Parts: sequence; structure tokens; C-alpha cells
Amino acid sequence: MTVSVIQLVGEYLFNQRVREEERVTEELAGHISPLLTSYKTDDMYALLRATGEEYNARVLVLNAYGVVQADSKSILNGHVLPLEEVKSVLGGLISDYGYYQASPSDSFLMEKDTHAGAMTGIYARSIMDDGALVGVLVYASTEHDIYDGLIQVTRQIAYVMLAVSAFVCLLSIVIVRLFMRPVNELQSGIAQISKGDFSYRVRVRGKDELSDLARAFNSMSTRIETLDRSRNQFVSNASHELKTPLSTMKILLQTVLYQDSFDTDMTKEFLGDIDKEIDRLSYVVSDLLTLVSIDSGKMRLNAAPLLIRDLVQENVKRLSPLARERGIELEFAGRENAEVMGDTMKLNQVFYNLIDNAIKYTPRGGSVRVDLTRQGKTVFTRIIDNGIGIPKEDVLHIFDRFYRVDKARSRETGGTGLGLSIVKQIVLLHSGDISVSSVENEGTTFVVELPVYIKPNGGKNA
Amino acid sequence: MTNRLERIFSLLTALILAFSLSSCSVKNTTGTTAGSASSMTLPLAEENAPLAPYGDKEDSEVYRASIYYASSDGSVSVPSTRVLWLSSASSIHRRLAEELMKTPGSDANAVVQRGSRIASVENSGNIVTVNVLPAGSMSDAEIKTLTEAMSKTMFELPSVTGVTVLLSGRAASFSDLPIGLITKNTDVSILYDEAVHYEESKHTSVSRRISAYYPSIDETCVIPCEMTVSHEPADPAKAILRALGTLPNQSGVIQGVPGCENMFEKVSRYEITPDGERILHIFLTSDAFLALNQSGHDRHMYLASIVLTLTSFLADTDGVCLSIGGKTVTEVPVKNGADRKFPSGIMRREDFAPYIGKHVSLYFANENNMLEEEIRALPLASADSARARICALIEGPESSNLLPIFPLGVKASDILGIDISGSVASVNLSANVYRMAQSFSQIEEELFVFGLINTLSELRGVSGLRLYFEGVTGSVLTHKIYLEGVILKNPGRIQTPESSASN
Repeated sequence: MTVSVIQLVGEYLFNQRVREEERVTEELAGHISPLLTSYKTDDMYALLRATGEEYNARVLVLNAYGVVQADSKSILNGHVLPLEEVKSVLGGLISDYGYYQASPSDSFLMEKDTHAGAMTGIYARSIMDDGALVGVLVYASTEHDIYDGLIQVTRQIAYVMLAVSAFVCLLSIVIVRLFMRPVNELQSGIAQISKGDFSYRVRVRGKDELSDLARAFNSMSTRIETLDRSRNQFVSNASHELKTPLSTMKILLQTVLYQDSFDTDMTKEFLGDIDKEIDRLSYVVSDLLTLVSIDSGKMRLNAAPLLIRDLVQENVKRLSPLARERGIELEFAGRENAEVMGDTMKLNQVFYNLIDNAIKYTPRGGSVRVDLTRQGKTVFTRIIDNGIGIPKEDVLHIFDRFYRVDKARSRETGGTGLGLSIVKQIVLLHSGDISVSSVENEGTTFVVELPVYIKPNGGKNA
Repeated sequence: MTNRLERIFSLLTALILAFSLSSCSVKNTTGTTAGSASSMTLPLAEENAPLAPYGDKEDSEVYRASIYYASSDGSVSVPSTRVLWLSSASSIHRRLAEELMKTPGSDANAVVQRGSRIASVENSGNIVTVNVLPAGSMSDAEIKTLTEAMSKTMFELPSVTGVTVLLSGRAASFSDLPIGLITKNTDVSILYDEAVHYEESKHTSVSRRISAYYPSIDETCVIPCEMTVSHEPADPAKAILRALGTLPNQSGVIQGVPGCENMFEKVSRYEITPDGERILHIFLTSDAFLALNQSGHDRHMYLASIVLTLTSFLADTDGVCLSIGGKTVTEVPVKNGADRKFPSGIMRREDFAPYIGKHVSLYFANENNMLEEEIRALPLASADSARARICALIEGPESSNLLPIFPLGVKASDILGIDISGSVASVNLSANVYRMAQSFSQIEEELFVFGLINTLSELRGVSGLRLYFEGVTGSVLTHKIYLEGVILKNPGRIQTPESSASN
């Protein structure tokens, strides 16, 4: 680019010079013509000298034979000037221009101190008098001032380029470092997470894409940390849930094995307890397998259109004996019936679980109400009890795996701590949603939302 | 990764920088290389070149002159333009003076009486002396008009700086008060008013510019030079002779009258001869003669200096009679000539007028291979002659620091002819000169040609030179100077004090 610029500048300067010389010689030729024809040598010489000094050039006037009549340097008077440009003008051209490489030993037109290698520009122009050629004006100038100017320009450009390059380098280093810092931090963060430190967070700066990336990373880290914590807790809880019945069975068996005297009643009791623990263990394993199946995506719904009101009502009916036994009023309200695309067995599990929990956590004399309504394309099923409620701090975790509000009580009632997790996963698999609201000692309300099944041909559902 | 990015970026930057700076060179623009001189064929010699001159002639020329006649109110301020046909027989100065003698048209009045004529005009370069023969006596007012008109007319010529008017050979004056040399700064009206009141005030002396005639360095002629003197009517010669003892502000002349302390024996006085001539008698002491001898100056020029100066200035002075040590000078030796005799010791202006000369510039070579001017005095009769000037060049320089431009052995007879026409001097030299010129070096060739043209261009009306040898003009004299067409003078070849300083 620099070379192009210099070349352009050089060409411009040369063209400017040629135009200037054209103008000067045209004007000068007009003044010289009457002086030449009237042999006013002193005036002619003074004009040539003045022009030569003003423009740092050599000016010569030749007669119609090409013989120098006047020379601003008074050296070539009487000589013939063997230049092609002079020949051309004498041959009929108005003007002609050429460049010559002037060396100090060949500087017949310029001073002895001509810059070696500089170019001498020769401009020859006709001197006319009443339309007749009376002489030739030769204007010779070295272009070394242009070269000097170009060298100066080149030097300046080089200095500027150096300075700019240094500045650009410095700036690039600064920018790269600034740009890479968040990336470096992210990289560090990723390395930390890879090591297992899920608590690492990157600093968020600014409001650009990198800051968005940082925020996303932090969010991901938080999620991973939570999941890891949940996983750990899950493993811990699962281990505990699995280990607890095994430990109980071990104790019971050891008591039976190492009793001093065989006590049939005690043995029977203990074997019965062992049987219950085995059942619990079986439930835990079954639920775990269910969750694993859901998490791995292997659980497949046997979805088919079903009438949700009938399904819910069926489960209410199944649990009515339990409710009566506990002295709890269980009622169902659902005027509308809607078709839902779902897995009957899984949905039975959902509503059975929810109603069963409501009954379990409602004291004698309480009530559990199940109602079903349709709003638009969603069917809402509410399970409302006036039981013990859920503490505020536990509501958020109620669907977490192995989460128990009252461990002792749920264990007593045979819960694994996985039921609501499974319920939620099944509801989510049906593209629905489940929510809970509760006030301690006042009751709890679970709301299951399921999408209404719309037949492809647009037919109305029941 | 960060380090790699930084390295890549830095490398890119460095490459760009290197690329930008690597080719900081300027390509040469296109241009053809000058080889040896092209085989340019010169045109043939001028087909219609003028014939070479044999003998001397000068064409007539038309000259547009400004002549100052008198206006209706008697003032002389507005010139009338006249187209004059100048022949070689008379100089421009004489033609102008003669034109002034004529009765003009209806636009002006004559400055002299009808029938007045010009007796002579001495053009000494800067100073012109015009001798008018009036048709009748002239009043001071008429003299004033004439001197004003004459001086203004002559001052239209660029070289003229002083004019002396003689009336019938006598210096013009207002009554008894000499007018003296009229310069461009002279207000003739003031001189006239001065004269009007001179009788009343009885001034003892007045200051005047005069033409003081000094011998040339070679003492072959006398040259008029401007001087200021204090005119004392009581002793008219004293101040002038004292002035002649000092050198003027002009080169090329020597002291006119070697001075000494006790120069004058007694006061000069006028005497009227039986023929009615008014002669000024001057009495010098022997010391004055001694001083002259000691100076080694030429006695003839000594007398010329005194007589011409006095008669050109003092009013009503027809001649001078010089007495030295009580003896009247009646005879004087002449350099390269027979002794001159002055019967009764009266020396008149016309006796020495032929020895009035003018300085001419001749150009010779110096040791710096430049042309250097040598001022030389030539008699008026030949000073404006091209032949005389070329002969002077052939003679060579008088200064030992200069060198001749003509080859040794060239004679005046080698000048076959000279023709001045249309600002061009055509000089026809003999084959002898051409043959001898072949031994010129390039520098000698240039000095010869430009010395010749620079010298001849000092003549009025000459700007160029055509050089012939036996009637033929060749293409190149010896090395480089082409002879076809007109050769113009080369002012840059002349070494001046400025060009010497710059070198």
C-alpha cells in the first residue's frame, strides 16, 4: 500500500510538474517571440535568467535552425542542441516533452552538481511570430526536487508506518488481552468444573456476548452444582433407603438366630417385620427403577385417548375404603368429562398417589376433595385436603427425590420419598404440569394440569 | 489458546508491517535515456542568406524621435513625435539637432530663428555638445528656450546624461553667466533666473556643472566628463584649471592638468583681438610646467584639456592663450604626429575638437575564459564605426591582464567588409582569419565570436552578427559555434564584478 501511495504521489508530482512547465513555457514563448524577432538580447537574457531562477530551471532560446541564441546559463550560445524534442518542434510539433537520465558527466543542460541519477525533464515549445516558426524555447529542469520530495514523503510515510505499527501492535496486545480475559476466565472455570469444583463462577463484565456467555456459564455451573448436590443427596438417600431395611432385617435376623431359646411368637413377629422390610425394599427398588427409566428416557407411555373424569373417579372409589377407615370424608366433583391422551396405568398411579397422600396426611375428621374442571384446552384436577399441610420451606422441595417433610411419619406410612417425584415426572411426560400450595395445619392443594386431546379431524371431545 | 491467538495476531501485524515497509522504493518514471547526440541533420545553410559585404555600408533606418519644440506660451515641455529617416551619413544626435532647427508644424513653435543650422554635434557617449549657428543674435530668453529644447530632445536618447550648447562656437550663456553642462537634474529656468538677478546681487561665484575634458589613458584623445566647479568671474580660469587637476568620477581618463601649489602667475584676463575675438589669457608659473613634465603627461593633450574645457564653458570665449613661466605657448609636440603650431599663441576650440573622443567598450578574454570589458577612447570620427572597433579588437587589449580574441597575425586589411542593416552587423573576414581560427580551442572559439558580437552590439542599432569568411558562411566555425543565421550577443559571457564575486 505504501508503495502504491508513493507511486501515486510521484506520478501526481510529475504530472503537476509537466503541466506547470507547459504553462510556463507557453507564457514565456509568447514574451520571447517579439524579443527574438527584434534581437532584443538583453531583454531576452534577463527574462530567461529570471525564469530560470524562479523555477530553478535552465531556459534556452533557439533559432529556426536549432542554434542556441540565448541561454540562461550563457554556456550553450551558438551551439546546436541535439535533442529529439527540439527536432520534433522544428519538424512541426507545437511542443514536445522528454526525460533524460542526467549523470554528472553528461550534464550538458544542468549544473555540474546535478544529483546523480536524477531525471532531467526537457520541454520544447515552438516560438511563433505571425504563424511562422521563428525559434524553439527549451525548458530543462531536473526532477531531483521531486525526488527529494518523494524521498521525504517516503521517509515520513515510513516513520508514520513504524509509529502506527508499533501502536497497532501495542493496541492489539491490549485488545487481545482484554478480549481474552473473559475467555481465560471461562477456560479456568471449565477446568475447575472438570476437576469437580462446581462452585466456581466467572465474573460477569459488561453487556456483550461474552458477558452473556459468562452468565450462561454461571447458570450452567449452578445447575450442575445443584444437580450434583441432588445426585449426591439422591445417592445418599437411596443408599440410606436401601441400607435401612437391610440393616433392620439384619438385626431382626440376628435376634432370631442368636436368641437363647426359640420363641415362636417372637420369631413370627420378627419374620413378619422382615417381610415388611423386604416389601419396603422392593418398593424402593421399584420406584428407583421407575425413576431411572424416566430419567434415561426409556419409559414409554402407552398413550391412548381416555376419559380423565372416569379415571380420577375410579381412583377416588378405590381409596374410599381407606378414607372411611381413617374417618376422612372423601368426595369427588367433576361435571365435565374430557378426553386426554395418556397412559391409563401411569395416570392411575399419579392420581392414586396424590389422593392416597392427601388421606395419609389428613387427620381423622378431616376431608379430602377431588374436583375436575376443564378450561379451554386444559383439564385441571385438584386434590384438596385440610390436613397437616406442608411447611413453607418444604413446599419447593416437595417433588424432590427422597425428600420427606416428616421422615418418621412417611416411613411409618410406608413412603419411599419418591412418590411425588414419580408423579411429577409422569405428569411432565404427559405434557402436563403439577403444582402445590399449602398452609401448615390448614391443608394442601395439588393441581394437576393435563392437555385436552383434540382429535385430528377437529371433532369435539366428550 | 490465548497465547496462540496473541501470537497469531502479532505475526499478522508483523507481516503487514513488513509488507508495507519492504518495498519503499520509488520506481523510476518512464523516460528515455539520453544517448549520444542524435543524428539530427541540420537544415541546409540559409538559402536566402544575405550576400556578404565587401566594404563598409550602413543601411538607413527609420527612427521615431521626440523633438521638444516651444509651446505657444514659450515653455518647452511637450514633445512632438517625428519619424526620421536616418542615413549612415549622420548620427542620430545630429539628426535630432537638425530636426530641432526646423520650423515645426502647427502644433508647436520653432526654438530658433529660421535659417539657423547645426555646425557640429560631438557625441562623446554620455555628453553631447551641439554647436548651433543661429541665424541672428539671440536674447537670453531665446537662448533659454533653445538650451531647454536641445537638452530635453537629447535626453530622449538613453545614453545621454549631459548636453552642452555652443552658439557659433561659443559656450551658451545668459548674459555673462555661463550655462555650463545641462544635466537631467538641471533646471534651466533657475539658471536663467539666477542670471537675471546676477547683475543686481553681484555674486562673486556661482556653481556650475561643466564638461571637463580629460585625456584618455592612452592620451590619444580627450574625453568630456561631468564636473562641478565654482565659477569666479574675477578669475575664470583658476577654478576650472584646479578642477582639471582632480580626477572625475569616471574611469578611462587621467589627470587633465597636473596641479601644483603655485600654479598661477597672475589672474587670467580677457583680451579682444583686432578681429574681435575674445581671447582668455592664462598665466601659469614655471612650477606648473614642471609639474607637467614630472607627470609625464602628453603636452598636446594637456593643452586640449585646457582649451576645450574653457571654451566649452566660459561665455563669449573664442580662444585661449596660455603663458607658462612668462612664455606664450605657440607650439606643442603631438604623439605620433607632427608638432602643432599656434600662431600668436591663440588656441581655439576647433583646433582641438578633432581630438575629442569617446569611450567605447571592447571585449577581450581574461584568465577565467570570460570576456572582460576594456574601456578605450576613440576619436569621435571613428568611435561609432564598426570597422574601428573591430580594428581595436584586432590590435588587442591595452591591459596586460587581458588577452586578444583575434588570432595573432590578423590585420585590419583582413576585414573585407561590414554591413549594418536591420540590427544585424554582417562582418566579412578574410580566409586568412578563418584559417588561423582553426587552431582555436572551443573556449577560444566562443570568446572570439562572442567578443566580436558583444563589442559590435555596443553600437547603436546592432543586436546580432552574421559572420562570413570570404563571403561564405560555414556551418561551424571550429568546434561548436554554428554560424548559420544571426548570432546574438551573450551577456552572460561577460565577467562583471558581480559574477566575479559569485564565482
